[in-house]
Amino acid sequence: MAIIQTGVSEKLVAPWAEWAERYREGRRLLEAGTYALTEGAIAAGCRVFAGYPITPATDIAEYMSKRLPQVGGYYMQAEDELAGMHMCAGASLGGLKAMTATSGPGFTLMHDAYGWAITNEIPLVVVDAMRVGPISGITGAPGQGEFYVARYCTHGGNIETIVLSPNSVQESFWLTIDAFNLAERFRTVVTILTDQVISDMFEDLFLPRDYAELADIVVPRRHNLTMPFYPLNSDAIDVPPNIVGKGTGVCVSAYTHTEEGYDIEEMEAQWAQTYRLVNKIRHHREEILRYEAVGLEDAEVIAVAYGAASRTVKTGVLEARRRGVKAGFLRLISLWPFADELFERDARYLVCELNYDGQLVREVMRAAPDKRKVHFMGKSAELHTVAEVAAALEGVARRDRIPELPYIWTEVR
Amino acid sequence: MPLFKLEKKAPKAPAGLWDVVISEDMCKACGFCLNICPVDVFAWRKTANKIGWFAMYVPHEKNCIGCMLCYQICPDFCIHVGPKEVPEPVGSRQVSVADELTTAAEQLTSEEARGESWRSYRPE
Amino acid sequence: MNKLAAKYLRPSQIPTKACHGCGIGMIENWLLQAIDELGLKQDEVIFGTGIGCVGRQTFATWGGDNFGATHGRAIAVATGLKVAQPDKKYLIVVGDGDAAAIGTSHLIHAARRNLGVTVICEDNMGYESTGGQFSPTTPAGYVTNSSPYGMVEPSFDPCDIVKAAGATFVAETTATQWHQTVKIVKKALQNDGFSFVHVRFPCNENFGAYALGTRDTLKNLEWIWEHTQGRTVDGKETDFTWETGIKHDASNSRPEFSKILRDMNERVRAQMAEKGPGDGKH
Repeated sequence: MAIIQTGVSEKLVAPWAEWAERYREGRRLLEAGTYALTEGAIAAGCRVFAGYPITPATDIAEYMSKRLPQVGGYYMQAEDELAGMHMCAGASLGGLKAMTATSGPGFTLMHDAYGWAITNEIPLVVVDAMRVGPISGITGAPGQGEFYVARYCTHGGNIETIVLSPNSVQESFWLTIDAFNLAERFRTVVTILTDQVISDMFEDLFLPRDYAELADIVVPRRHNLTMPFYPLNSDAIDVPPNIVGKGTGVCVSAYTHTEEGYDIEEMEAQWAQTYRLVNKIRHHREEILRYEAVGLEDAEVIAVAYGAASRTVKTGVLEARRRGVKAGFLRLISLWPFADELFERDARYLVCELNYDGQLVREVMRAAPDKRKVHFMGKSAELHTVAEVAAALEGVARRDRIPELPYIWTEVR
Repeated sequence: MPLFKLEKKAPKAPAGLWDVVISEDMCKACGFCLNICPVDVFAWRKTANKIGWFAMYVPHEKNCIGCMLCYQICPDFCIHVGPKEVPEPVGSRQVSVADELTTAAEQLTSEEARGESWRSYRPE
Repeated sequence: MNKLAAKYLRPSQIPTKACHGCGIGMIENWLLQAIDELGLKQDEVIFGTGIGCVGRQTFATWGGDNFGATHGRAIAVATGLKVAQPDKKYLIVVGDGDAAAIGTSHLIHAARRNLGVTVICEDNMGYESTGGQFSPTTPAGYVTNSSPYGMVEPSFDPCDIVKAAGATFVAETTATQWHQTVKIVKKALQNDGFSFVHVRFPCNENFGAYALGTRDTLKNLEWIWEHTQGRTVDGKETDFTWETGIKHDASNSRPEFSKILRDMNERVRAQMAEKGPGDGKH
């Protein structure tokens, strides 16, 4: 089989670029994305899973029900997704790392729990395996319709969120460990946006021989035993999470709260709390930024994608290069906080996403220097084909528009 | 059988055996303690407390028989009732019902105690 | 000040935000007595509340660790907490909206699982924090903010639901049964399983104003008293009477939820020790 000689630069900005080099002894398996996500969580120290089965995240629940008792953890099958995430939040408050996994219909039920966990700085990881929508949509088809929902995951505003997205089975393993680390360091909920394709497909997976060896890269759970439980007006990270059950007297509240955690109804308190919740993430965005870039140094048109879409889009970019188009590829791994700095080049952008209403493209339009040079290539229920992507890149580079392609949506307004 | 005893009796037991302490600045003037007490221990203040209510106070601690009903019924954790460490000598004068009973005219009803107090409340 | 309040409560949160004459503070006093008589220390008990009067007014009054969850979800959070910290006593103090309306699903499943918490459902027969709308426990015919022509929806007793779902201790008292409530809460706390104590209490500001026609604190507490004993203060029969007392006591007869999970873990790990590490495949 011929390997495409790219001849262009490839760059991956993510901690696992280095991790994969450090841990080379282990097992090679042929496994699904859900399996890799589960193993990544176990490796990161997750000991509680509480969720409700839903395609395509059901396998995560099943694997967890098998694996967690083996490592002394607890699997709880909740009566609905909202209960599941609240149970995870309770377990995390009690000192155990926790995770839940769902798809779109369950994700939107979790908004209440998201708000509660974020405002009380409880570390959690939530996996959303998106599928095409709205609502139940097509159960077995990929979609990317929760880009904004993952950022605006609760009501009331005044928050910032961390959202990551893997695009391969191997990356799912490392990225889950990374997500737990970010959750511990930032004391927040980290959302892993994956999709039906990445969850269900089987690929080569390498697992390190002994998870105990990962102690160097896994951020362990520590307990905050002293005041302030909520350092308001501060953007500090690496503050240990609070714990209920060690007699610290901590209050965990649904309301705007003081440093001790009980409710307070004053404007100054609202400012101080929001300052913390938003700036602890915004002021440390360089700790969160992860992306992959191919051929950006001389690109005239840059294809932007994430998750499953990025697999075929990347090949499409390489095909376009072969056809003489100076195409580049930008894969977002950290979706939020949105990396405006990646879009400073005054090139043409082709945003390929698995939805028709256009979500990622709106952020790119906002961040790019000239929004008229941002083109939208939306497709739903199936991945973009390499031919479609190469044709679109050619069209945008040479004629500044995407050619007519069936079932490709190009309007944004 | 009524819950509240508006007519107070004279205590039959020896007087002066019980401590009755009210944290007046926590009182919200609900009136439960005064009305459930079978004897005459409590009365209303005529000036507002720090949180703006006309609080309850203890003018006749000697009458307390230690039934603890006021302690059980106070919704604001204001009342402490406990045996006196040093009881007053046995045989001290029993309070005469006629002499010391706070007259009905001096009682405020629960509505009146609530009356204007919210206007006088100022947060610290 | 009440000595138990000085021992267990958070000084900055007293006096509470409760209205004058509200039954919530009375019931909290009895909870403190039960905790004290059992010899429990402040760091051995974790309070959880929800939203609404019972949630807001009790929240953070407890001096030890406590949490105020979103509406109806206190029991779901307690499920996760109990699994992580099984050795503590949990007092989940919620209202009738939290337990019998929005959070009933979690209540049922916690009872089914026999989760080792004690739920005190303090019932003022309406949604009083939002002004006095009716709730699933408002008695028939009563006028409230959202039933201006009288409550026509049938109401229910959450005790029946919890008992059917498998709770191992179910009891009901009212705000004029102080000694009984203290004794019942003590028994409830000693049950290593799901305990449900349903306490009806007066709300003179909203329920009293709209349903009973008076904000007088004494009259509202008397209304509770009358419906506890079945006779009005002038000797007539009341329109209904609450059945109070211990309705079901199967304390410590079923395994507790977090213990079930721990036992399963031990079994699994014993099997793994026997069979060896295996190839790691699922």
